[in-house]
Amino acid sequence: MKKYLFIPISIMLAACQTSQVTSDDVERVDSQKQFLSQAVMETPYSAVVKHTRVEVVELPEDKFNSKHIFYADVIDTIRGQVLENISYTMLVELGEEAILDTKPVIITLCKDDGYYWPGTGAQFSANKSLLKIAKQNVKTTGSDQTNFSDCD
Amino acid sequence: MPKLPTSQATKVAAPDAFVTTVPWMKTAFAEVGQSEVKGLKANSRILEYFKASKFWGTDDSGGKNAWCGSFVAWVVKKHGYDPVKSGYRAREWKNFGKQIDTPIHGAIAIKSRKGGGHVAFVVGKNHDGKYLYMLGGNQSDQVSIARYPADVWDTFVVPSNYDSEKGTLPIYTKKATIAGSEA
Repeated sequence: MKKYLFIPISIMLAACQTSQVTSDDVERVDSQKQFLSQAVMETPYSAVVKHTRVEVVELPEDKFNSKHIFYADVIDTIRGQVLENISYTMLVELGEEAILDTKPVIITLCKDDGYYWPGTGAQFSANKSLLKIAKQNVKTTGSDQTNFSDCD
Repeated sequence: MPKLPTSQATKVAAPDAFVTTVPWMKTAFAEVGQSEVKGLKANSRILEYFKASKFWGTDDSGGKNAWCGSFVAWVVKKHGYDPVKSGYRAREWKNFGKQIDTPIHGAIAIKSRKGGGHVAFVVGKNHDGKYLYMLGGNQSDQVSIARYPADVWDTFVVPSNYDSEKGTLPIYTKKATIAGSEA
C-alpha cells in the first residue's frame, strides 16, 4: 500500500515544483509583453541575438563615462537590416560592471553612426510567444518610418 | 572595486542629520545604502524596485539593468502616485506629474543622454548653487546621495497635486566623498 501512495505523492510534489517555476516565468513574460510592442515599433532595429563578447572602452575625452561594446551573432532579424552579426554601444558611467549573458535574447536598438542601446528595458526573453508578438508588430510599421521615440 | 571618477558626482555619507518634510523623501532617505549584489544574485529590495516599474530584469547589476528609474517608481508608488509607463527608463520620468522650472527639495530630476540618462530626487544645493545633491538609485551601484553639476539636469517634475510654490532648495552641507557610477 505504501508503494502505491508514494507514487502519487511524488507526482504531486513534482507538479508543485514545476508549477512554481512556470508561474514566475509566466509573470515575467507577461510583463514583457506590455512593453515589447512599443520597443519594436519605436526602434529601427530588433532581432534575436546571442551575445558573444563585451568590451569595455574608456573614453579619453570623458572622465565620467565609458562604453560597453556588445558583440552578438544574429539568429533571427525582426526589424531592420539583415545581418549575420552585430555590435552595439552602451554608454555607462565609469566603473559599471560589464556583464555578458550568452542566452539568446530579443534586443531592440537605436542607430546613428552605429547601433546603440536605447536604455533599460530594451532586451527581452527570446521565447516563442514574445517573438510572435514582435513579428506581428513589425507588420504594422512602415518601412519609411524615420522617427523613433525610444531613440530621441 | 572599480576606479571612480573624481568630480561629476560626489557621494555623501548617510543623511542622519538632515530633516525633510516632503513625505516621499522620508521614504527615499530610508533606502540609502541599498546596494547591488555582484554576480547573478540580486538584492531582493532592488527586485522590489523593478516590480514597481514593471521591469522584468532578474539581475540588479550591469548597465542593461540600470535601476535608477525603478527606484523612483518604488518611492512614488509608496505614496500613492502611479509611476510613468516604462518607469524603468530614466527619461520617461519627464512625463510624470507636472514640470517645474527650477529644482526644489523633493523634485524628481531627469538627466537626458543618448541611451537612457539618469533620474533622482533633488535633496539640496551647495553654497553657490553650482551643484545639486541628488538622492538616487544606481549611483555607485547603490541608493546614495551624490553631488552633480546643476547644469546636467534638464527637467524637474513633481506630483501634479504638489504645491511647488512652497518648495525650497536648501543648502546641503554634509561632508562629501568621491562617487561613481549610475545609469
